[in-house]
Amino acid sequence: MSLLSVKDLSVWFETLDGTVDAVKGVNFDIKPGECLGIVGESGSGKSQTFMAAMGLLPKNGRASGSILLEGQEILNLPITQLNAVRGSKIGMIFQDPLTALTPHLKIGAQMSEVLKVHKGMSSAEARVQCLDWLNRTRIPEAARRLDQYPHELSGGMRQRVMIAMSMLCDPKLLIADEPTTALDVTVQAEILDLMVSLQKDRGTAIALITHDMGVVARMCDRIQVMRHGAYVEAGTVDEIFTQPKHDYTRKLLDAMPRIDDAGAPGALKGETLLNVHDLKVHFPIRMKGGLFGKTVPLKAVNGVSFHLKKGETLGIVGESGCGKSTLARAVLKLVEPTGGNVTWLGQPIQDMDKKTLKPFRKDLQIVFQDPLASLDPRQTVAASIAEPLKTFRPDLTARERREEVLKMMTRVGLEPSMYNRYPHELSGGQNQRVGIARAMINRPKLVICDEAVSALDVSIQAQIIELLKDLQREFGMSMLFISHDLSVVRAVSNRIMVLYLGRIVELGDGETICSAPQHPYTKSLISAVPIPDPAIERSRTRLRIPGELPSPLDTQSALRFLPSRLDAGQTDYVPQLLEVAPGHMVAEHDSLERILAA
Amino acid sequence: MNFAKSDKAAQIAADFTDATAVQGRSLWRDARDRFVKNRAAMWSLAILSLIAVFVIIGPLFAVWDNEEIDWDVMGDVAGMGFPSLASGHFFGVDDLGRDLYSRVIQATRTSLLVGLIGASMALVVGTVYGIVAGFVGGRTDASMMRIVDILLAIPMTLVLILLLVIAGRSFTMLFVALGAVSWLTMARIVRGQTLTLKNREFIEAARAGGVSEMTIMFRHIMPNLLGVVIVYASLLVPEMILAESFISFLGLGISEPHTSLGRLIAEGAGTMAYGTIWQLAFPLFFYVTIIITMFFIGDGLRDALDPKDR
Amino acid sequence: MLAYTLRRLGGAIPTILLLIIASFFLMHMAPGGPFTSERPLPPQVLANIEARYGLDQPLWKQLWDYLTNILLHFDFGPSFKFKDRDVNDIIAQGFPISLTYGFLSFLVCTIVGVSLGVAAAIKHNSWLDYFAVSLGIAAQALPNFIMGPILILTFTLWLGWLPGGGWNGGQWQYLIMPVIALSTSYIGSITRITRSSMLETLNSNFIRTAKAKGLSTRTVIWRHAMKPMLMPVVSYLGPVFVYVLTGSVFVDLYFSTGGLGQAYVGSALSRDYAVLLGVTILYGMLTVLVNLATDLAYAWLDPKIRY
Repeated sequence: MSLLSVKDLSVWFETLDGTVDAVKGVNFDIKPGECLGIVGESGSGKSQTFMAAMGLLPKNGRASGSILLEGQEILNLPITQLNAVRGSKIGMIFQDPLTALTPHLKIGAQMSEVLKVHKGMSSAEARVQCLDWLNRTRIPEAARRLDQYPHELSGGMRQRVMIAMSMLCDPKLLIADEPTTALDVTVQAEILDLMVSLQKDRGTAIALITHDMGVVARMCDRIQVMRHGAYVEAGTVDEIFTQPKHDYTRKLLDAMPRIDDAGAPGALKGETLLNVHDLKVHFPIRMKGGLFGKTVPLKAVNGVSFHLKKGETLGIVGESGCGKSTLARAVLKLVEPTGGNVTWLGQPIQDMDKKTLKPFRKDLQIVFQDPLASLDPRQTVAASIAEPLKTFRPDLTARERREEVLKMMTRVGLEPSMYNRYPHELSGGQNQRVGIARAMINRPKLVICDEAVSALDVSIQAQIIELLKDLQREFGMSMLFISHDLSVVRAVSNRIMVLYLGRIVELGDGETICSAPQHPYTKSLISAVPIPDPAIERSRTRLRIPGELPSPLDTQSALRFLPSRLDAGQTDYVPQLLEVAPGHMVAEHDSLERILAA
Repeated sequence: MNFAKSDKAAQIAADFTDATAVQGRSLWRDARDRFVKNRAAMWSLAILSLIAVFVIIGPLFAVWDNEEIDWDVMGDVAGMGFPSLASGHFFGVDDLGRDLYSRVIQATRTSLLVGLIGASMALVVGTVYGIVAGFVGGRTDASMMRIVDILLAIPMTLVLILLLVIAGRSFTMLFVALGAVSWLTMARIVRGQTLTLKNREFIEAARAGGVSEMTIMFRHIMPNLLGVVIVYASLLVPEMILAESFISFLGLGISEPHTSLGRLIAEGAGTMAYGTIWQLAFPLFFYVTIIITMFFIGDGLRDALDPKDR
Repeated sequence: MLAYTLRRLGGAIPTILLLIIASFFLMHMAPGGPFTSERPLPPQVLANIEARYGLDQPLWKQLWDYLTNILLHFDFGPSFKFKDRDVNDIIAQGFPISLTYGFLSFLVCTIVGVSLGVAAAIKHNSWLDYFAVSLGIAAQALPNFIMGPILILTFTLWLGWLPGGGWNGGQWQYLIMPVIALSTSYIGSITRITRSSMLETLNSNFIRTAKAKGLSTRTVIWRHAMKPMLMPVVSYLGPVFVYVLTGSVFVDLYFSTGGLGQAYVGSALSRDYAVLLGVTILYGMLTVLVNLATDLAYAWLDPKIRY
């Protein structure tokens, strides 16, 4: 018998503009102990299916059909009856661990109330059990966490707390709604591992809602592919990945960039365009504590050197807080570097004032992460694209400018009829095309893409990447491609640079970095990236370096890969970059055994 | 013929052939549509306009001047001074036998002016102060905001009274005093918005595009501030009227021969025990109508310009 | 928490100093001395009076005395008009009265406003919600000086239920109307702020988590939503307290309670700067203290601020 059986489920929303159908009559079953993946892009209705089951639809949401949990109808139950199921037979974890916990309650209080409500436990009993579960999620210093507030924990720890909390009553089913999307790749890998082991140990069935084919390949037994509120295809993991039947599934799989992609670009020769030497950006951070607090420097970028050739793409990867975005802004002088040199075509630009720098800006452009936030909401699309033209080619007449803009719009795949549209009327992908058009309109020699595709759905992401590559072929500009997503970086970059807490740990051509990394950090990073292929994914072993991603304020953590120097008391030692092969730089590190032992 | 060669003509021709280009809906237009759909706000706007029209053309129908004393009814205001079409005192007379119709028009005009001028002073001073603090940032910002914080911690109505007592109760002084105490919150709001905007990516994009700081301020920051500024200013107008009426009620605001709704309400409230209820009712009606409609309009503007705030 | 409190307290001191200094200079900017306003006095008499009030001293000395007297002895000096009373007497007589119903009004508008706002948000889009929203806007248009006459008209002149003024040792019949008059318009604004804050909180992710844990609706609201909801409300309570304090000036006058407001308006009309300034500074100090209290309450609500 199936654990959860969904029949003809429809979900719709009553809005001011009429009824919006989110889910259009879906059927599926979840068997005890299995992991079902529900895959789809944003707006496909994949979350709403389970929100309806849990009675968590917004006030204007309605659902019809049937959802049976162990033969008992739970759809549209009154809250009081539903509460016997929620948190007890079904647990749920959400995408954003930063906002999913009540900010003013201690972790222990939030967890134990589940046991008090469902099991009638006393505070003391509940606390023991909570501690037990926190330990099972391998959270460091579990006992201390019980008396902390959510804001004192990192994102990964919060997600562990969420998992522990939803597992407290040993639910039959765990609904995980994009549980790792907001997390760094190594943390994602740990959370996924944790979920797999829970599934094995406790026999909990998991409904994994995600957009990431790689995560599905690693976790799931069966998959449902969802689009526009309906299932387009269902089957076992192997069926879906090896013989996708539906066009949409095939498109999704093709669109996923893979870190083991053989067709990715290789190294390139050419003249050097940009030279960055020992660049440093330190921010003064006011620390709390004491009567007046104190200021400590946050070393966001701490001595980075690299060069970029004409027409080359250098990928910059690293986890949150590694300083990759700050590095990009420092190269463009959008933030003031604290030290080091930036040389552009032989001209040092780091000491230039705004006026002298202005002509250089024509050749140095940037595309941002959030397509909507990077466009002025009160200007038309055309006005945004035309702005750099107004600055650098004031001689153009209004008409010439208009033609330039239209030409560029067509080039990046925007309908000329969108000329007078405003950003809020366009989709995310279209807005990102506007952002690219604005960056490209003056034919710059360097474009920095700061997480330029990270906010987009997989299929849109693939289109934008294709567009960037096309533009590069046509105009021959160089790119600095910054992303937390190694697979995407691999797909576009000739060379890749790995950053860790403001320093380079490894730099080399894409192939070398992804298939033969040298530095332990790169290794763990690469091994954490999921590959959308169940056969490969399941056979891979992960390199785990214990501990959470440290804060850049922590001086000790900079030497995490050189415990020998730490032991010798050289806490301010700077690891040297060594050239292990031509063009392949690796930062000094101890042996893997030594690091794992530390 | 070189008609077709002129730049202007070419422009027109281009516009004409590009008729296919979809006209975008700016945020302003969206906001206007939302506002028009808001029935409470639209009714309030209509009623407020009627009052404004009344203030302008009302004096044409007045039989009595606002300072003229009707000696016939003065002796028995309660018995003969009631509102009547026959006597020409449409709203009755006040305690001194003056025509209340003309007095109410005069008072409504004063109150509306106080609201508009007071709010615009706050708007100009507060916006400039806030933008400068937010945009310059750093130490300048910190010290400028420290001043605002200190001033905000002083009860403003009392300061207003203090200013009027010390500098004399004149019309100009009233406006200056109202402006002086009301710009603080405006400055704070504008500064906060400027700071948020300054860190938005589209400002960075403009900077990366070589746009000068001044141009960024005028082309990108100002238009995006406008929504918040309008909403707040619209809520400031009734507040100004309230403040003025309050001190006029206490007898510390505008003095004779000027009058304001607060003053009239005070007079009406003082004599209501003698059966001259109209002396309170008419000014009160105008006052409450103005304030309620203004609140609804301000609310409608907020919903229209800042939809996520609902 | 202690460090936080101390730091906040440290921030309040310059505010109070500045308030006193600014008031002092305002007084000295006033056209003519306080005794030149009516009929001209013989020079000898004027000099005597000025000596008595210390006005013949250099300006900085006067400021210093004024400042130290207030800060060290809480002494606002003699009144300029009443020869036998000083400002402290006047304050001691009227302030307890004003503070009594001021504080009562503050309680009433907070309790009623927050309850109404919470109820409206929980029953979103019900008749209760619509009622609360319309009441919110209507009440804001009814400040104390409008409510005062309306209340007296209704309950004293027409119904004859309540006395039209006086204090009578603070019996409840005498308190009702001043308190309602003072609190009505703030009930309106507090209701509206509470309602929108509660709606936003109920839409947040952690409320969804709490529901998914199977907690009862009551637990979700009281345990999880209440504190975060109160944060914007609490930061608005500081200003409300100030408004209520200033509003009490009107209530004192209109309901003849014998509170501080009567003395204040009287001194404003007769240009008795000593009383005027004394009361303004007193209220200013009170405001600073209330703002301090709201800051601390805010820190209690938000664990991120505690340190």
